[in-house]
Amino acid sequence: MAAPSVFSMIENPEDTIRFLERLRQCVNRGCRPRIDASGVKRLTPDAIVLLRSRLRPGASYWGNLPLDPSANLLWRESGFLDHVNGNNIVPAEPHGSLRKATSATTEVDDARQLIRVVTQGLFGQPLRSPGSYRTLVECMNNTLNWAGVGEKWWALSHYDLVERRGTFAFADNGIGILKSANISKMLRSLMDAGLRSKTAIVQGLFDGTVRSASNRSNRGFGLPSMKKAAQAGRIRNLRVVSNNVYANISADEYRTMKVSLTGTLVYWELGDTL
Amino acid sequence: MSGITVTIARDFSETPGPRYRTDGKFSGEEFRHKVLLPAFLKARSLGVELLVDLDGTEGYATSFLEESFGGIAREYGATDLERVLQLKSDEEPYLITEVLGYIRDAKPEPAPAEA
Repeated sequence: MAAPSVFSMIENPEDTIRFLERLRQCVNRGCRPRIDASGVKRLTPDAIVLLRSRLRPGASYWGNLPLDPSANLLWRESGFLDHVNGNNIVPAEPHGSLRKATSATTEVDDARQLIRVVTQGLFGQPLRSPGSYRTLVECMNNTLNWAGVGEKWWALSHYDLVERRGTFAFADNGIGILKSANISKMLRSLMDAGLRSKTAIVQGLFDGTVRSASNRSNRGFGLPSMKKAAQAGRIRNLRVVSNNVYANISADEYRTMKVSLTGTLVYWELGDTL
Repeated sequence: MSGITVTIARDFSETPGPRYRTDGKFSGEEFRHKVLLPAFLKARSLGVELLVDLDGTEGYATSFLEESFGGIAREYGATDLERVLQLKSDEEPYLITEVLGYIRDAKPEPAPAEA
């Protein structure tokens, strides 16, 4: 099963989703996929967290790594190899942290550590990043409350000393933003009336003009707060992929894709202000 | 008489969490019950200011803040709360406006539907 040469949800979502969906279906059928990553020439951390989330707990990694040196190094320093068994691939010195939910609660200690690893690596000391902390906790809350019963998350943080960039990727295999129960009812009625498209609804959720949850006035602030954090520079390059919607929240651009992701991916980079 | 100060990072947690206790550690519900509400009631009875310092934590989820401050406003009224409350947030100044919004927009939770 060959990974795409641009293995990246944020840069090549359709091919990456096709690969991940083939992988997911194979795993669900009980087969053991052999992954050929040798042709990957461009890799971003979001693809790694999604790949790990698609493998079974305690899975072995049966496959190879990219021949491209940059992609190879990122894979080995991401922490992916710490979460799979039985391979002879030598990990590189970690440049980040890969964590999974271990309980059905919001894990604030993990949120802190994911950030501290990146800021320690980039700045030499464990600095706080309220924008990233808010985004992580909001993501964990959303998975806990809306992704579906028992759904767990995976989160990865990574720092690149050459690019001077800290990145975060959060993924779950739940039902996605559009399919979460209350949105479906709203979406159905709006679509029946021909009034709203999926991209418009996702945009509305992040703008705060479409309220999720039970439409209660004291709910639905999380997604808009993430967009505000991006607009204010507290986080950068915020991207969300859920169902068949690709959203570049930072650029306020939304589009539908020809393929659909099972679950949700949220990606962002450390902000201009910590 | 001097007022009452609550510093969330010192008096509760450096890692504020989700909305409800059942959702995880250091929830807004827990903060409201254990720290904020007792301080508010004391400040109100003494007629002094309650200063809540938001600095020093890793950050805040919106649901934590809404449950903490909006929760008190739902129970005691926004006016009573704002009469005593002062907020300090030098690290994230926008949080003051945000919290005041939760207080002013706080509405009672809808009653559960009858079976």
